[in-house]
Amino acid sequence: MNNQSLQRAAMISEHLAPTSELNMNQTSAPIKTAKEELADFVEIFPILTNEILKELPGMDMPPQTIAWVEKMINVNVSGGKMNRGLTVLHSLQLLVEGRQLSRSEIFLANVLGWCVEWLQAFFLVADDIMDQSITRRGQPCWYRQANPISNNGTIGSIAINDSFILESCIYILIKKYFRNEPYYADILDIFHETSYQTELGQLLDLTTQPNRGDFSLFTLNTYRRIVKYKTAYYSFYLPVALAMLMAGITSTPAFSTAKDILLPMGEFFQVQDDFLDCYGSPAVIGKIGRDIEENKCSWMICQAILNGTPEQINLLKKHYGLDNPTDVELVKKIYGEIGLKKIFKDYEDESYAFLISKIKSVRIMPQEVFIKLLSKIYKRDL
Amino acid sequence: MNNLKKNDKEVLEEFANLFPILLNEIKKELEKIDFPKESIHWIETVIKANSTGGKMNRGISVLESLESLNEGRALTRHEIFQAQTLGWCVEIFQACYLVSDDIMDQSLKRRGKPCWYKQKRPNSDQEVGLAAINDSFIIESCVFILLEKYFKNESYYLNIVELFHKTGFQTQLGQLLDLTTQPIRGDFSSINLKNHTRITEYKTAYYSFFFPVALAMLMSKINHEQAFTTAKDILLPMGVYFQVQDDFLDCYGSPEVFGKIGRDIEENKCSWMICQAILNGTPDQINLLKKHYGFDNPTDVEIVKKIYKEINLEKIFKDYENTSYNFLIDKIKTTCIYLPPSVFLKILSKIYKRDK
Repeated sequence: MNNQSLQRAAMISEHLAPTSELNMNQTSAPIKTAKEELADFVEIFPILTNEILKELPGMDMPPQTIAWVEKMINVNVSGGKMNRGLTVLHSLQLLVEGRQLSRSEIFLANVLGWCVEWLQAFFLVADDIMDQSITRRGQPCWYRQANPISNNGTIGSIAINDSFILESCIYILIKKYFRNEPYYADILDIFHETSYQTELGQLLDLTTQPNRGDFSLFTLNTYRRIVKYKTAYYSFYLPVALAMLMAGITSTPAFSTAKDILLPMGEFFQVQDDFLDCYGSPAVIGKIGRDIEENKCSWMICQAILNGTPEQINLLKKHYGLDNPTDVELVKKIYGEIGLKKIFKDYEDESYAFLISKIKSVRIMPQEVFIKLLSKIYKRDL
Repeated sequence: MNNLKKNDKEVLEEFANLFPILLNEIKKELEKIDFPKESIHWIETVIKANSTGGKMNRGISVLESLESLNEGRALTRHEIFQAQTLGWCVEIFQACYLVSDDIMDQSLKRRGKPCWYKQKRPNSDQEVGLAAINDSFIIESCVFILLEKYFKNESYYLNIVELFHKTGFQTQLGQLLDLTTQPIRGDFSSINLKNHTRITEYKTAYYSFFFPVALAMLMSKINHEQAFTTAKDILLPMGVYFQVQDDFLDCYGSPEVFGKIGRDIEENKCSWMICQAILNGTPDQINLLKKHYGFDNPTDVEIVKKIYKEINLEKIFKDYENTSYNFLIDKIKTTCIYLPPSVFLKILSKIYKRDK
């Protein structure tokens, strides 16, 4: 458990609304610190993994296949910061304002939180293959790890099938724990829908890989659409929407309101990621940024094109998208000349103000749901 | 006139005509969210290129099974439409796995054409390549969009969604078994009929044979476990028989009729053919097979085929085919208590002694 997660967890505590003792009841769970909540969340992961694995012998799977699935799940599902997963419980706590959650409700919220983590794992394993990435969370990407069964070679393209298995795990867990809940069908539909949205976002990203030096596709409109679909739906909207379903919220306007706030918040988060890819410390962000080398449609290059002089843009066309330290330094130098750090700071402040004003006008659900999320991401330099 | 039954060709044509309607529904949903035209075109092309061009037997089986399960009464137009829509969901679902399997297997051809990942991107000179992985996910998602659109209000909606999930999982486990029990060249320890049957059941038989019939059963409101167990007991062996035919045709079928060039020998596959050769060959023949099986070299391949001939695998296959047919017929005849035999006889008649 790294310091960044603890700092974020501490931030969460500051925003927890005080609970009136008058609303306590015998079925409610004791109030817990953010650290304890995190421990509770982590604690159920082996339980859920076991629910999946224990079905496999009955399906005539040999021991080495079961061991493969187990390792694949452990490597790819746990090990992240789990912010998306934790958001389900945190949102639910705020949505049922006025009462404490029961132990059962907390458990179920955390199960859905893990389903979100599983969903992300499914996409990350596949994305790493398609991007031919090298490392993920400080270790080799799954497809590049040693094949645990054959003594030579890497997992390679078998990882494609593994990503499908990660996806299937989601529906095994949902069926086991939610089959008798009135919102079961809605949960299935929202996972299907979010998967589709994320895949559409990936398609937009894959087909916005222009020839090097061609900047016609690097526009903020293109960028916003990719981010909305590829990241914002599953990272911001899905966890809150699941909590809303658990809270019994069914009105379409409520989900539209959530979408109107959470999708822009997701964009804001991704812009930060793009900024940190270029200016963040590798030791803190957990990876070496390569957006420039890989010719990515990053917010940074979009803004540079919008704000640069024709000479600067021509230089960028010459040097952007080349995996060469000299070219990368030249691009960063031009970013410095254009003043992208200040442009980012201005964007950050404007986005914050925009989001706050939108949140303040919400009447259909507690504003704290969104304020808490925003507080986790605003001015992060992690 | 009311009793005039459509012939098989008309049924197939009516089924085929539904595909553009369903594809258009997917397209309309994308237009609603203001998705770029080029991306919509890409998705249309992916689904069309990979879901059509086959024999559609799996898709057609849903309606045919539903008809058999409801013997004695005509299906309503709505029921026919729903069954055909489910049939297309089965075909599209299969397409998702064919696309991803071809990447993992590094296959070259599918249904006589280059595999999707080897084709040119729509409106581009660039190969689809690894983007095909995401395409297979999109194909899968489109199935669930269609299910929600057309079945959300049916009482059996959750059951069919769960069956798609379960069948997907079974198919994925089958693929994992196949990929992780790839025999090491020259090592025949994992090449045996038990492994072949297990891989085949999970990788192919569930989604190709059990799945369409099970969907028709759910549409018919059949929900007791024993009925599904009975269906499984007949359809999984039928699926294994089908795969054995595929393995035989990979080696002895005509590429023009079969639609692809067989490469099981080159790729060191756990094929029924090599399993039988190991069971029936002399120690000398088996040693020669160990020496030559699994090489992408015409000379080695010819030697393997020569040994297959010496062992007389064609006769062994013919005997197996007759034995399997009789076994299946016997089993089908004892199922009257739960399900009408016509459900299974229709499917068996399509695959018995096929050449492609």
